[in-house]
Amino acid sequence: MHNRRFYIEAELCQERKALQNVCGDACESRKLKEEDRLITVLSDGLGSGVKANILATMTTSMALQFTAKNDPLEHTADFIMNTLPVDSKRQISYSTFSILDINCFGDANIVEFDNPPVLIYRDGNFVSLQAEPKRIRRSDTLSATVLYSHVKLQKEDRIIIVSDGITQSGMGSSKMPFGWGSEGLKSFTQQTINNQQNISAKQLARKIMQRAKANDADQFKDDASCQVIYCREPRKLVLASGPPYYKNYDAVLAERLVNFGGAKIICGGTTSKIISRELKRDISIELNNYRPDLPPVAQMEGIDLITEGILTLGKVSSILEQLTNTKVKGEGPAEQMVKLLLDSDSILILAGTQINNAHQDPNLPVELEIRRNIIKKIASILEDKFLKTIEIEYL
Amino acid sequence: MSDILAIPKYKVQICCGTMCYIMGGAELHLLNDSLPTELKNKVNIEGIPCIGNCNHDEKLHPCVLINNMPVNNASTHKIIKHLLTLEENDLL
Repeated sequence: MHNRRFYIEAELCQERKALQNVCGDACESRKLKEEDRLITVLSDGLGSGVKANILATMTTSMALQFTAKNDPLEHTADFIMNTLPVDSKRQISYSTFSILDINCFGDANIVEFDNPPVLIYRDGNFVSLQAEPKRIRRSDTLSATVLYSHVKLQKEDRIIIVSDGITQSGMGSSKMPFGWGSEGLKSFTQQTINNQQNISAKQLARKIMQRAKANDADQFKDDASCQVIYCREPRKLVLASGPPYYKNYDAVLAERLVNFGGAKIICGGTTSKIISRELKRDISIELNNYRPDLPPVAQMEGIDLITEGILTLGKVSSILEQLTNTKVKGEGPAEQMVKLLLDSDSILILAGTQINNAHQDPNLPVELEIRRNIIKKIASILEDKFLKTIEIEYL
Repeated sequence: MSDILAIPKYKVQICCGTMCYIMGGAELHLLNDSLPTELKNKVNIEGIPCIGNCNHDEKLHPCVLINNMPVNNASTHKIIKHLLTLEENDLL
């Protein structure tokens, strides 16, 4: 998501309670492109396992929908409380939630109910939020207090939203009898950022998760989720794929690529030859990593990754489609490209529109799709699922 | 004498373009494993980007260059045969 001031990187790290198959927390982020807005909801369902997951997932999707439609908070909270199914054993319907809504001006509205407090890290310290409590009536006699706060985000701010599995990790151990707590999390975050000033949201979320897991001696006693949002200078990447339609644009393509500030990927044999010719740089291909599914990667000075075209793009698209988190396994050409794409915030795709006549034979495998279609598909997955800013330029 | 042996005599360049790869070129990357003993250490195998043969109407893939001479519709068998012929001519 792109604000005029900074880019917002949102990354989630989740772990299940030991011996459970399903995580009882749910966290979902949605980017509203037209409004340049990002909404994140984290919810922790009562108990653990499938039931908790259903409660949490219902809560997140309701909160997300209502917030996106700008419904008043009271209505949202009221609706959530009254809709959740009642637990047969405990006779209560229950899930916690934290809603974060960042608009195009960098104004963040935060709504919290029963989750550990949302932390906002700025310049070595934490911003103390002026929370305004609001009481929500519930069908059972208990009434709930929801905290409502507002903050103006600045560049280099980090927002950390966790479920209680993180803050209560280590509870009962001799080292921390009352658990890690918000204070423990705060000082750990300060230390980590101090050691590594520009740590990405993804790395920070993972570090917090690892530490919390270590507190619980590698066996989480509750489901744990950690969502980190980082307002940063965007990490840029350019992906050039396909030869330009007109031959005299070849030089333009090469120049755009070489002058780009950020990571560079070339995808396609003909494209890499064009760049090699225009820049007078040699391409070398190593054959020592044999993989039957995809042609090998090539090397050229100043380019981060060079792969074959349409087959690799097809694989990238299917990997992105199947990914449920941001951990990519494997070392193949497609996996390398996925890793580079996920480690960037703003991606420029230079798509050549010339069609390879050799690929139009109907006897060939169906994997040989038309490049423009597959690029559009990859772009929409990166945009909707991984909240990246994508720009496609056809040459 | 040992210096001459250390430099590979033959250069095999395998096209890594999409067409060649799906039309059987993938297996050629394992060429080194199937070389007969008399050719071992004499062949340098490398990949090259698409050499552009796929733009013709004839079916030529997979394409390979042996000492810069194109060999079309290549297979491991065909390449080894070609190399052995070169080797024999050389000995004569």
